[in-house]
Amino acid sequence: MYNYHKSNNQIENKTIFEYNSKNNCGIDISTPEYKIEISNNDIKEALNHSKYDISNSNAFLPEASEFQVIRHFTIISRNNFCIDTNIYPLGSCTMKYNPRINEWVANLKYFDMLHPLMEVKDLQFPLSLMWDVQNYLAEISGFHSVSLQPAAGAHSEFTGLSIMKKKCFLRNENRKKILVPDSAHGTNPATANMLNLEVVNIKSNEHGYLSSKDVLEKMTPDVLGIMITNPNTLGIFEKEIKDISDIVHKKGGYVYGDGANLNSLLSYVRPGDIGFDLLHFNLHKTFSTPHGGGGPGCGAIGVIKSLEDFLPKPTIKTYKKKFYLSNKKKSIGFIKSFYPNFSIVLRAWTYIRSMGGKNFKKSTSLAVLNANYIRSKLKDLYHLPYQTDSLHEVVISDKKQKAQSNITALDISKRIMDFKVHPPTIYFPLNVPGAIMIEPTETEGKDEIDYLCSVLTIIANEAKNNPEIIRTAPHNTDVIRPDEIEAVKKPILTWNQYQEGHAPR
Amino acid sequence: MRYLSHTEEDIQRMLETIGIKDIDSLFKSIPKALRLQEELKIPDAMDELTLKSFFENKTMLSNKTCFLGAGLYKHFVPVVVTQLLSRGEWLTAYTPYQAEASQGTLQSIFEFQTVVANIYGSDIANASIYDASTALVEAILMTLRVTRKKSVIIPKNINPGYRDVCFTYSEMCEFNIIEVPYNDSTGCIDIDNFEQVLKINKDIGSLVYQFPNFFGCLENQKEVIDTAHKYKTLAIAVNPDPLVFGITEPPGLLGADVVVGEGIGLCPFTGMGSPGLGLFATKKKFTRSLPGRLVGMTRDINRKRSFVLTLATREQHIRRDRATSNICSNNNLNALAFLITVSLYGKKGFFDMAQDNLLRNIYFRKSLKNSQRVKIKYGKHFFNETLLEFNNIRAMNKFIKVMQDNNIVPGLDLNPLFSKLNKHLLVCITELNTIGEIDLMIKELI
Repeated sequence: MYNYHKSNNQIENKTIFEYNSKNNCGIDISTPEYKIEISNNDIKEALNHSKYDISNSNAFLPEASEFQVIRHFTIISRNNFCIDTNIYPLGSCTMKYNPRINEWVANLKYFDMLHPLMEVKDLQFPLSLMWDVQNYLAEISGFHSVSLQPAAGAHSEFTGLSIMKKKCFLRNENRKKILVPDSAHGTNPATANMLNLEVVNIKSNEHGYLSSKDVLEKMTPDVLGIMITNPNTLGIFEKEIKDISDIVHKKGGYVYGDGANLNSLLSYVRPGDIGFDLLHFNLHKTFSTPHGGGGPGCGAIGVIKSLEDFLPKPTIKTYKKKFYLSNKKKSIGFIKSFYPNFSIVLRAWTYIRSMGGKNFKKSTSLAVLNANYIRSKLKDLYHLPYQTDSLHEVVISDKKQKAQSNITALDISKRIMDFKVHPPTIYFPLNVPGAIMIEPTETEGKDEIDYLCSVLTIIANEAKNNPEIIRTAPHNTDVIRPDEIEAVKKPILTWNQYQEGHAPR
Repeated sequence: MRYLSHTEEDIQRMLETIGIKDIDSLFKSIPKALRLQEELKIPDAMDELTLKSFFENKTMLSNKTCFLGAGLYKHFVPVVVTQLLSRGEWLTAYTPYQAEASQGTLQSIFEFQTVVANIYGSDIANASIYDASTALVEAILMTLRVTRKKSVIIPKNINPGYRDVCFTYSEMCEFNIIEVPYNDSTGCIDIDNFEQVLKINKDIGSLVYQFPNFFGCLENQKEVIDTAHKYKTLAIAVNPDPLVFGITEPPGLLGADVVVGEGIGLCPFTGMGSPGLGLFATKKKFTRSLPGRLVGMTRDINRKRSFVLTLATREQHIRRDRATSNICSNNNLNALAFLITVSLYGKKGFFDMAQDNLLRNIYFRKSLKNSQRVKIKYGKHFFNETLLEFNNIRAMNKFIKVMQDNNIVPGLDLNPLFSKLNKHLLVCITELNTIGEIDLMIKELI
């Protein structure tokens, strides 16, 4: 449970390694009776005489009863903010409600029993559900083909750039550069680097979007294409997208879409219709699958017809109402083991069918309504770096508060927690100094949005009248401003390192 | 729609505050020509009752028993694990960027890192990667980065699925894979094959071995690792089932530089083998070269013990095009499931369960000792896989058919994967296969 420290009258959560009960165990195992004798020598021989017993080693593994384990993981869970208990307007992450029927489906015993190497004839139902989701996503996005194979958004980016690279390679073109806007997610340039592509940065204009003129200038014959998030990370729609894609296409390049912000377009715009050649989906954002503290998600990818054959293996085909797997010759190959992140696909299927085609328009419009309502309520209290209309998220900055009393975006985000609200994304996008990026999503109602606005209003007033309370925040969380610099100086990444005397003092 | 909370009146009042007439005006920044005119062709909404009965009808249990492993080794996961995972605090939180709002997730990752490092006998571990195949790729990329070399040696007895993924990345990330054959009579690595390459090729950054290998054999780890080090290259171990290290020495203790593996077998949901749980452990000296997320322990302003994401300057959101990897998330919910399962097993249970797996396999093999119908191919040294060699393909197919009629999937036919193993069945036995089921197999094999 807890450690009590008399010196400063503090209690802290135990780690699971501090349950001092030698050989305690949270499971009971009964040994079956064997009809033939199995000797110690059999065991030794099987293990090539390298028998080891982890329970008699120095390894740090927990030694706790079932009840202690339950209590431990319940206690520490309560130190998390989460969608179920807090408004969670984390920009670019689309923290919408995670419906529980999705969980019920994903936890059905039937699915759990499916081994991926069973014969395809025994996997028809799961394959049919994957097939459905592919088709729903193709319809939603306007692409010819969709693969669910990538495990996450960043994995999709790898997949997408690989497809572009391979296609150009087969055309005997050596394109070694990629255009990436300054407002892009960090995964974009990081992925390009993995593929040995040189990143050419392009800046958004004074209105907060890309100008086709700039793209024209930088779109040289050695450029593979461009990675665009639309709406971009300011929540602003890339107005010149059609011209930009025309320019890129004319020079033989491809337009890759980062679909992190797809939640603002469903039913209103289909990226495949407006010039994108590839686009990734984040099923854990747009399609309500749980974020789980950081994954697993699923990063499906959609492509135009001429890139279909390059999609990762395996692809699902259907013939006479039966499903098959096929491996296209031009495919970039396998990008992970087995099938797509199936339990995530199941949840997305359930979400899409629960919503039905007609409700997407409503959810999209409410996501955009919420963000714009916040924007109009806060625009006089906080600096709004771009006046251009925005969609599902709004980016404000700490400029005013910094000038007034040297209060930063970090301080503001810490103070927000005192009001039981999860902080927005801060210091991103990089083209806005001191950015505070708010994405409310459609599932927060007016009451919740009003509360969020009133919290930010109180904080704006405090910045004027009582900045100290912001600077010392948060005041009622379990821990307060952990020392990140100390953590880097002498990293303690395991309980062993803590025990070895790396203990922070 | 029950997920949405706005009333019509709410919407009207919000529009008034913004100062616009209708919802459509919110979208005026999107040029008209780019907007979708039709409705999405997606079926109408299904209510919860309908959805539930749809799935209930479609997912009647067929009670199939499975002797398939080959990269997915399903183990017993206590009910406690799913019960805990269903808490919203775990399920519906996100990346713990804000430490004060995420101490639960951060502490659990710290504990996960500890558990992984200790099972693998390594100094440190990260917060996880997608699955074993992608963890292996990240390990190769890391070792090539730190050695400034361009080539890696991979023996042909690793999981063909891992091999395929490595080849995709080698083409796209531009590094070389040198494949070497394994010893045909043992199924294990032939160290001479490694040495031959290491002697002449000076561009080798690392070599890979799988433990237990794809055929389930236990390699001579020490010999492989020492050979790598003799030629100043790094040794990467890839492990499809961490449970084996309850009962046999882990790679890290024997000197392996990176140990990666698949943790999904100890998670509650393994349907279709995915999402996986890529485990990644290494030596302390590579702390700053690691891919993926790391959590460290520190103190807060009141000197209270706390946890933070750390060494983020390796990562994409800070370092952008100079990051050690593009990975953004970890497979956190699976990592948590793995941690809770291992916490329940405990040190003692981890050994006992490993031994239980081994005993069942010894029992299976010993029972087949005098069989006229099958031979045990490859391997005196094993854990929970057995490769059966039939007299001919027909006999094997007949056996598969008989088992299938009893609702048993008896193993994996290796014919499509290894041309020389065309009458061979890879049979996996874990604690989830009862003695009764194993006896049924034995009966048809002797």
